[in-house]
Amino acid sequence: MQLKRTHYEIYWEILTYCRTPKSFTSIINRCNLNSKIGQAHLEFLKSRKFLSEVQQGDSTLLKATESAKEYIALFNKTYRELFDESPEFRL
Amino acid sequence: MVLAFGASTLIPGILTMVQTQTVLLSELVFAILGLFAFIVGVRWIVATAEVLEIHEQLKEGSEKALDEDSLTSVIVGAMASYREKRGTIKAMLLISRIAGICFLILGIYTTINALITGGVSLWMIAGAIPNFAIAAAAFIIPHFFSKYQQIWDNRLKQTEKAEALLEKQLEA
Repeated sequence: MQLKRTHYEIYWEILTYCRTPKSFTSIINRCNLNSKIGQAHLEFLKSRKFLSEVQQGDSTLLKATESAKEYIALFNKTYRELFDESPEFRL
Repeated sequence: MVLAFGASTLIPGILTMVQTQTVLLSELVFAILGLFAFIVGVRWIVATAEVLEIHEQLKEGSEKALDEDSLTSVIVGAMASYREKRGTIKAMLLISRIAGICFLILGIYTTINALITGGVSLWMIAGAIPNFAIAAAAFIIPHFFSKYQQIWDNRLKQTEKAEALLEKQLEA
């Protein structure tokens, strides 16, 4: 999506997008990542059991796990709080 | 006004050089200064629009966001935009303050010059008013931008706390 995102923000984008099974190509396109960096992030999330592989026909898709849902919920909560606590420029 | 100053210094300077086919050092210096002011003025307008776009992005996004994920996506986008524009905002604050000092000096110089050459003539001193007005604006505008920057920097600082929590979640 944008430049200057933190790893945590990129993970969040990947995991929310993968609520339903998605292919590697669609993930890197949607999250605006290059293949090398995208691969590294996906491998990391798989190693943490936040993403699991799903076979669909000939292709292998990636899907967010239950642990990912906890991460997404925590991320949503903490980022919303950034704007709830600030006195000005509220959402 | 800085744009107008730039254009009014640059264009007559170039026209004079073209017409006379000679280049005086003073004319050249004023033309370069005018060009510089013109570029800074244009860049300033663009940068201001870019910075205000973050607020618009948040406002419009929050109105359109249908669920929690969409709303968080808007926040993530705005945070990323701010990180990208942070350097520009700092530069804008600095340039504005420098411009303020320059216009203040110019205003004082114009006033003293008018007093020396023309005596106490209100009409001549009035020529310095635009310089003082620009100087005042150049000091007031950074005040608002720095307030804006403080709020966003505070948010960035708070994301560090959030990141610590998220890191724990990742490691769990």
